[in-house]
Amino acid sequence: MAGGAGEVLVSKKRLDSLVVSTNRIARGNLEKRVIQSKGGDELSKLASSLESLRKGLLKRKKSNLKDISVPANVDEKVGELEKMNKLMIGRELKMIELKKEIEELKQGKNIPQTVVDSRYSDGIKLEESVVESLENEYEKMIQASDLKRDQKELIITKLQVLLSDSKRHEQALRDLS
Amino acid sequence: MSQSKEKLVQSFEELFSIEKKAHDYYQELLLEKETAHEKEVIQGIHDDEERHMKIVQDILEIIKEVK
Repeated sequence: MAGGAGEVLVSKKRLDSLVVSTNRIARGNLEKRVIQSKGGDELSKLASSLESLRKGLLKRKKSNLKDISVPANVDEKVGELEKMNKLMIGRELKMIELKKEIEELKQGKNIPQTVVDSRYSDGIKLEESVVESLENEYEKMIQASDLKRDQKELIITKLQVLLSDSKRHEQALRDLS
Repeated sequence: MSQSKEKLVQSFEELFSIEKKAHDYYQELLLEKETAHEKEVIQGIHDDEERHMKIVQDILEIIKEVK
């Protein structure tokens, strides 16, 4: 039985040592190794596991310290990244816009203003507004007026010349653009 | 002159102003250095605008003649 009591005492010492190590690790003190004991009993396995835990925590601590070290020119780098980001977003939006315009051209829709030569864009707008006014206002105005029938017909014939010419002008300017 | 006629006259005077504006615009465009083809096209449009001004004046006379 004496051997048994001695064994219990040794085990208690080893257990106390493990408790001390655990408390030390819990306080964040990771420098001191956990004392390992020979033998494959449960306390040995626990000591081994605790040592692995200590090493792991130590490694992570060192790694975190390295990660959070801020370089001196960090603001400059962040500024460069923000500029790059804006540039990339701007290019992306422009690409989307261009793709849309190309698609509209393929589908035979109106030529977008951005590809109209600036020398003639004012003329095209002018002709467009004349066409719109003649089509939507002037003819209706004449029809609704108190003028005689032959006068109305004469004026409408003249207005149609203006309308036809203005449409032709608009197209000619687009062709030049 | 009835109110309807007054309105017609006013509207066609506005149309005359637009045609005059177009005429002046093409005249300025002709002064710029363009290719022979461009000059020919612009000159044609410019001449049309001169004719348009005359047409609108004719329309105005018709409207004004009505009692």
